[in-house]
Amino acid sequence: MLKYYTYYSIGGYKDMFLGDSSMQEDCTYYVPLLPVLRKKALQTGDTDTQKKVAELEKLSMIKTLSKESTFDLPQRAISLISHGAYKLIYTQAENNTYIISLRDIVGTAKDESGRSIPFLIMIVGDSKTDTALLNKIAAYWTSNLSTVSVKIASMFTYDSEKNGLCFHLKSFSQWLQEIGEKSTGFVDTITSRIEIIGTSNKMLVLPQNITASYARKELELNNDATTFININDIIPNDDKKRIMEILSDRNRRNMIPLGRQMCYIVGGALVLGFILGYFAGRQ
Amino acid sequence: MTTLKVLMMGGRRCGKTSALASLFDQMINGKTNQFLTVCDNTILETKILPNGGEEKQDKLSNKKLELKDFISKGGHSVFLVDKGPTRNYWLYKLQLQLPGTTKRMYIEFRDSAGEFFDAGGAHHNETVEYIKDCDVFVIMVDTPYLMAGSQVENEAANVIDSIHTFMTQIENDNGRKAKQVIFVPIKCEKWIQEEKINEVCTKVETVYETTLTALNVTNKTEISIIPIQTAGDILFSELRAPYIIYNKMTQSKKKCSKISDKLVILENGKNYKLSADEILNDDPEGVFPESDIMRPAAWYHLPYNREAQYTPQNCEQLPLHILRFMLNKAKSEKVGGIFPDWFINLFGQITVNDLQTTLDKISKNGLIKDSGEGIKRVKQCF
Repeated sequence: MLKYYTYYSIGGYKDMFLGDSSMQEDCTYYVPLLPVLRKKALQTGDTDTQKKVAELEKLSMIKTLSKESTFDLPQRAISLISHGAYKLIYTQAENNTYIISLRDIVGTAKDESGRSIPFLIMIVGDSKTDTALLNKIAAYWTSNLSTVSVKIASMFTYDSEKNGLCFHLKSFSQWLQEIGEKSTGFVDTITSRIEIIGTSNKMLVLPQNITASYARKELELNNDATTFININDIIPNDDKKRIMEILSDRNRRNMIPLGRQMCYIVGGALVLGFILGYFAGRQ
Repeated sequence: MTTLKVLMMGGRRCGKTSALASLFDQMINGKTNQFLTVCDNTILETKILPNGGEEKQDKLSNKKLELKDFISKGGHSVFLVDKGPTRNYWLYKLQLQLPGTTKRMYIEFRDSAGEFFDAGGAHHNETVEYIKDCDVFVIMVDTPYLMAGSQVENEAANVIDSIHTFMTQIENDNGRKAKQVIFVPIKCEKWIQEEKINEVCTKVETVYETTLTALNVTNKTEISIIPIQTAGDILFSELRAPYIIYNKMTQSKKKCSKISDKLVILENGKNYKLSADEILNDDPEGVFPESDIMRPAAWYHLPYNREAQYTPQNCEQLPLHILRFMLNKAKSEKVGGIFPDWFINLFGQITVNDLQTTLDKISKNGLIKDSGEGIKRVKQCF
């Protein structure tokens, strides 16, 4: 079973359990004002408020994590939420759990200056049987970072009637299943084709300007077997502009510039002339 | 001397990042730069955006520009200053160098999201581990909630119980290792201009009495109160119930204050009448986490009787007090041990003697303040 978690800002960043792949609800909700409404209903006896509270309490709720209630989030995952130095990580945690964490996703919500409020999403598989699907998800997400980020961001919306956050749980689970059917499980980079197998190696996508050694230290990977992929080396499936840039860059490196060709010709001619002149002179 | 580690603590949106921005600015550009050359040595983390662009960890200088921007807009109405929240934690590094030499040292400031100071939250253990590693703790106090909020609102906004829990985790090795705790009332421009800053400090000592008593158990914790002004002329006005306007067509939200069911004040201070596509809701972000207590929004204004100026005050006192504490700590704990200064000099590091000389010069020029403007050394340990 896959479980979904997020580090998302609504009135401040919160670690939240969104739901799991076995749940049938269309959405799960976070309604921060529910305790306020309950208090108001109790204190005033207002029937409209009581009715509103009753409706909201029927909803399937997103849960906020605490020290006591982590909703089965592995201990390892907590430091992945608070630490950076990766764009995507696929790793094993305690008790045979496997984690994919994608951070710095641009949310649809904006702050007062119009800037995006980024967030993180995490999928935890609680057994080895989940790794087949997780391998494909990790590979697909890595190869389609642009469109994946937009897709995930669209799963979080504001519900004005309930006045809270709505996570489109069923759509998210269905999308992951679709990925499992269409993903090849491979990531193409400018140097190689990498098969993603979570049970063999950790996989980490390095953001720009972050080195593998820095990421190791930051995330306490120590000597764990880890495949590091530089984000700039990925050949994305969903970004034609980037593919063109990679191809032009390769062409530029492979072509010998005209000036250098001339140097080679002139230099070669001089050397040849010297050799011929030497032997001619000896005779 | 190695890198000093300072932990910025406080409730969400209290101003930790803004304080850091002003602190860095004052150290880099202020009066101390004739004695210490200071620069921002932070390695900024980079985020990749879906459109292929990239966005770097916000430079502290951008925070400073935000504050200046508020001031420059002028006007006499009230407005909100509740800008983008810190995401999880960032490290900011201040490099201090002796002028004319290559000798350097660093102060590392860890700026965490206020949510990390929720004792009992998911990041409790992680925060405790980091606390054990730090020598200096800067506790930001959101002054509007301290002075104008109810007791419950103040305790929630300034996470007083959580701060107390974390402060009891400070490890001083049975009193052998000195630690420093600095309480920093911020957003206190109003009280300073009304010459009531001493009331703020008295309230800090009252509200944090339990924490202060616990810290005083050993004689190895130095405690100070240093009110700072990060902008100078952004003055607290009042606390108001929080609302949002939601536009059903554009699906956008705007924070506001309610005048009537159809009339509001927007965060820029302008009055606004709701359109047919808009609804007014209680702000779902306007509640203290996991509680039934609404968090009123703090509204501010610029001076009514003159043009506003960007004039941060006393922000440089934080690193100066920290440097002095660390010097005294280094001397008393004999940091560097048997290695003589000439040996330490080989590594391009500032020695204890270098720092003593520099601090003596700074003190002689009256740049370190121990009193006045609300500054108070509650307890010294050297």
